[in-house]
Amino acid sequence: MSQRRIILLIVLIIGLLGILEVRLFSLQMISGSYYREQAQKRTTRIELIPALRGKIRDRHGRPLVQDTISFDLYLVPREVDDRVKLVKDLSLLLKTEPAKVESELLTLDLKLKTLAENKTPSQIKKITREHQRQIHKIFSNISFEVASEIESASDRFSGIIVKEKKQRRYLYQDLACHTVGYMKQMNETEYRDALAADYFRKGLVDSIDESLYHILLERGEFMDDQIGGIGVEKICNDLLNGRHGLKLIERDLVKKQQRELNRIAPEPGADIFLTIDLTLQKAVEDALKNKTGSIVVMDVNNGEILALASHPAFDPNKLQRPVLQETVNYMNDLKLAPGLNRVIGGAYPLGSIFKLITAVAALEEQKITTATSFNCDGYFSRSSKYFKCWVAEYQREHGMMNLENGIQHSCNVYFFNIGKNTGVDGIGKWARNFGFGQTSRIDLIGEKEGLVPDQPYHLGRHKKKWYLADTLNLSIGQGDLMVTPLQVCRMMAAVANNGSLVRPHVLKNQAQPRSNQGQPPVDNYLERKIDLLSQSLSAIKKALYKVVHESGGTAHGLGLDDLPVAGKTSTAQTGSTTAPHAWFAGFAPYDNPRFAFVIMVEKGGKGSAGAAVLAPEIITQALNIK
Amino acid sequence: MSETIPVRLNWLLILPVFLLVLIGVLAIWSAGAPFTQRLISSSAETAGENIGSSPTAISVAAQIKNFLKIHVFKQLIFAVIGLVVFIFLLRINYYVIKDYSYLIYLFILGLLVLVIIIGRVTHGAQRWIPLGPFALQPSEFMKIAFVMALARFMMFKDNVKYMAYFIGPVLLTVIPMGLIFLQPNLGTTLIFLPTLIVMLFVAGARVKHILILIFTLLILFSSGYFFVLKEYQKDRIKAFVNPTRAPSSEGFQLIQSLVAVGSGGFIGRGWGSGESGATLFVPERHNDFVFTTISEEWGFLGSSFVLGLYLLFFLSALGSAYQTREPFGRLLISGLVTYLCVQTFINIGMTIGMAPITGIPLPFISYGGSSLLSSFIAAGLIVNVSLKQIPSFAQRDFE
Repeated sequence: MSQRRIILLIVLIIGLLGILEVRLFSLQMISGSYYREQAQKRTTRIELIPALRGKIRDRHGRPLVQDTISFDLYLVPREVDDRVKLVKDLSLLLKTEPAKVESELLTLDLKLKTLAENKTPSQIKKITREHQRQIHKIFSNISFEVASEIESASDRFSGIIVKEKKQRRYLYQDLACHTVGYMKQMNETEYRDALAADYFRKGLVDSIDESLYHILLERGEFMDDQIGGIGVEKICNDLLNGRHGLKLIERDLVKKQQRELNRIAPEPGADIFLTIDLTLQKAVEDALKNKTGSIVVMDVNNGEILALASHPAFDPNKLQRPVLQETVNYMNDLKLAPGLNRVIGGAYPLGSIFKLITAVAALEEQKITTATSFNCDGYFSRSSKYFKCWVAEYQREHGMMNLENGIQHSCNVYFFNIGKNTGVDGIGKWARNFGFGQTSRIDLIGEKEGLVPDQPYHLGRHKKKWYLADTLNLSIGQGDLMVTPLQVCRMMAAVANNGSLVRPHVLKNQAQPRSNQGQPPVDNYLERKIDLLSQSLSAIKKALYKVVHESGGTAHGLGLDDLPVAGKTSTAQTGSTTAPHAWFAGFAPYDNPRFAFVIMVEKGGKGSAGAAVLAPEIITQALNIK
Repeated sequence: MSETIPVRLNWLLILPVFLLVLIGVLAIWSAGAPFTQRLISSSAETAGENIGSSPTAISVAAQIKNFLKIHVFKQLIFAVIGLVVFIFLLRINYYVIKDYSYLIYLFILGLLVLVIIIGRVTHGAQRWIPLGPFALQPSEFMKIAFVMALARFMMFKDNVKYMAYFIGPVLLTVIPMGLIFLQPNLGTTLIFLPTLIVMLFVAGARVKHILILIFTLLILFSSGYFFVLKEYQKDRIKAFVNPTRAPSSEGFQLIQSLVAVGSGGFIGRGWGSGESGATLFVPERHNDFVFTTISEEWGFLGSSFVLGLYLLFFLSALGSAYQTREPFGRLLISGLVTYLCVQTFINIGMTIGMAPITGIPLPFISYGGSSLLSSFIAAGLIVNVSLKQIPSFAQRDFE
C-alpha cells in the first residue's frame, strides 16, 4: 500500500521536474535566439540622482549659498534617426534659429574631422565608431520645461539625452567667502581617503543595495565628487551633503526608447545657519573694497561672529569647474593671497591697541593705580632719543598723563613707564590671559596662534638677553609681538564684557549640548572668565570712550561722535620704508556693550585715517542688528 | 550506535549532492566575475568618459573582486562544515535520532520565537540569529525538524486513521508556518503544506481525508491572501500572474531573468560570461536567482544537467524509501525529498516564470550557510536511512 504510494510520489516528482525541463526547452531552444537578441538590444543602466546639498544661510535664514539644478543636452550621433527633423524640433523647442542648432551639430562633425586627421583608414573607422556612440554636449543650462518636454517625448528626440546638472551657487559672489568656503574637486588622495572612510556609501540612501553601490563605485561615479574646500563648506561637509538616490533606466537600442524602471528618491542635505548677518556683512565688505585687510564684528556676550571679511576675496562660483586659468593665477598669487582668511590666518604687529594690555597688566600687578601719573616731554629719557612719544614728531609734548588720558592720547611715554614698572613677564602674562599667543578655537580652519614674546623666546630667536628696550617696545605693542585680528576682537570683547573670554564661532546653535534635567543649555562658548580687579576695566573703558568722543582722542572727529562707541586706534610699524598697518578696534554700545569689532587695513597708514574712518558705516549697521 | 559501519554507500545519492554543491560554487564565482569586466566597458561606452583606465578605478575593481570572492570563500567554508555534519550523520543510527524528533522540533521552534524577538532586521524581515561572522536562519532547519516530527507522529499508521487525528500533524505544520510567516518569509512558508500532504499520503491516510484537508486549507489560505498578506507579497504574486503589467520591480526582475535564461540557448555563453545584464540588477544574483546565472552561462545542456542531478537524487532517495520497510525512515525520506523538490521547483520555476518570486534558495546551490547546511543535513539523513537496508540490521515493520 505504502510502497505504491511512493511510486506515485516518484511519478509526481518526475512530472514536476519534467514541466521545468519542457519550459526550459521552450525558453532556451525554441525562443533562445529571440531572447539572445533581446539581451543584446536592451541595455539597462543605473543612474545616480544627485541629492541637493544643504543651503548655507545667514543668522536670519537668508540663503547665501544654495544648489541649483540645470539641464544639459547631449547628443549620441549613432542614435539620431532623422537629422533634419531633429534640428527642426530642437530649434522649435529651444526657440532658436535652426541654423544655430545645425551649427552645434556641425561643430561635432568638425571635432570628428580634427580627430581623424592624419590617421590610417582603420584608425579613422575606429575613431568614427567611438564618436558615433559617445555622448556630446550640445546645449547647456536649458530650462526645466524644455528638459521635461524632451524626456517625455524621447522617440521624437531620439539621440538626445538630457542630463541633470547640479551646481553650487554662491548668491553674493565673494561675500563672506572665507567663512562660507568653496567646493573643490577631490584629488586622488582625498578620493582614496574618502573611499577608505566609506564616505560615498554614506552618501547613498539606505535602501540602495551594497552591490549597486559597488557598480556605481566601479563606474567611477563618485570620482567627480566635490568636497568643501575651506570654511563651512568644509567643516560641515558631511552635514550639508545629501544622500543620492538612484534610477534604473532601460534603453531599447533598436526602438531607441528609454523608460525608467525604478527610482529611489534622494534625500537633500541639511541647511546650515551662520551667525553672520547678511546686511552687516555687506557693509563690512563694502568698507574693505579695494583694500587689503580684514574686519570682524563679534557679539561680546556669546562669541557669535556677526561679520567677517578678509580682502582680497575670491568668488567661489569661479572655482567651480571649469576653472579658468585666470582664476587659478589669481588664487595662487602669493602677494594677494585671496585664499587666506586674514582675520584668523594673518599675524600682524599690533601697535598701540596693545597698550590696553600693558595698562591692565600694570593695574593688576599693582605697579600703578588709575591715578598714577607720568610726565611726557616727548621722550622716555633724555639720554635716548630712540624711545620717543609720537607727539615728538610734531615738536610737542603731552605733559602729565594718567591712565585715562594716557590711553586717550595714546601717549607712548606713559606706557614706556608703566611697562618698565610691570616688566616683560607681567605684560606677557596678561597678554596671554586676554587670549593672545593662542588660538581662539573658532570653528574655522587655518587659525594662527600669533606670538607673545618672552625672555626664553627672545634668547632663542635673537641670541640676546631681554633688555629694557625690548620691554619698552612690547609695552606699546611693537617688536616681535604678533596678533591676529580675531584675537584683538576677542580681547576687545573681554574688555567690554568685563573679563569673559568667549569662543568665537560662525555656526549658529551648533554643538550646544543641552542638559537633560531641564536646566538652561551649557554655555560652552565661554572659554574662561579672566580674574580681574574691578576698577581696571572700567577705567580703561572710560578712556576708550574718550578716544572717540573727546578732543585729543586719536579717533575723535572721524564721524563717530554721534555713535555710542568706544575704541582705540593703532598704527603698527612694519619697517622703515613701508607704510604702517592701520588698526581700529572697539566695542559698542558703550553703556551696554553688544558687539566688539576690529578694522585692520594692511599698509593703511595711520590708525585714525586708515581704519577708524571706515567704522561709522559698520557700527551704524551693527547697532541695527536685533 | 553501531560499530559496523556499512561499506556500501549509495553513490547515486551522494554523487548528485557533491556535483550540485560544486556547480553552486562555480556559479557563485561567476556571478561575481563578469561584474567587474562588464562595468568598465559599459562605463566607457555610455558615459563617454575615459575613467575606466584611471588608477583609482583599477584599485576599486580590485576591491570589488575581493568583495565578491568573499561569497565564494564563505560558501566553501559552509560546504566544508556541511560535509562534516553530513559524515557525522552517517555515523549515527537515524533510529536513535528518531527518539529526539520532538525535542529537536521544540528547540528549533524556540529559535524561531527567538528570531522574532531579537532577530536582527535585514531587508525588512527578521530571519537571522547573528552568530559571530555568520548568521543562523532557523527557518531553514525548521523544515527538517518538522519533517522529523511529522514522521515521528505518523510512523504509527493508526495515528492517521481518522480525520480527527489530522489535528496533530496539522498543528505541527501550522505553528512553525505561522512563526516563519510572521518574520515575514512567505517563500519558506509555501513548502510546509505540500510536505504535510505528501507525508500524510505516504503514511497511509485515506485519500478522501486528504482531499478534504486540502480543500479546507485552500479556503483558509485564499481568504488569508486578502486579509493577511502584505502589499509587497501580493505584488509578487501579481507579478507572477502577469509580469509585464506588474508595477513594482518584481515584474522587471522576472522579465530580466527570462531574457537571461532564454539567451543561454543550447550550449550557453560559457562560464563567467553572462552578460544579458539582467542579473546585474537582480541583487540575488548569487543567491535566489543563481539558476539564472547557470542557465545563461551553460545553456539548455547545463540546466538540463542540473535538473537531471536533482531528479537522480530524488529518485534514488525515494528508491530507498521504497525499499525500506521501516515507516519512520520511509516517511523521513518522503518528507525531506518533498520539501527539497518543492523548493527546487519553486526556485527554478520563478526564474523561468512558472512560480512566484519568493526568497526560496535552490538546495545545494544557492549561496547561504543555513540553506547549504540544512540541505546537507537532509541529504545526510536520507543517506543514513538508505544505509539501513543492509541485512545485518534488524527490520521492523509496523504495518
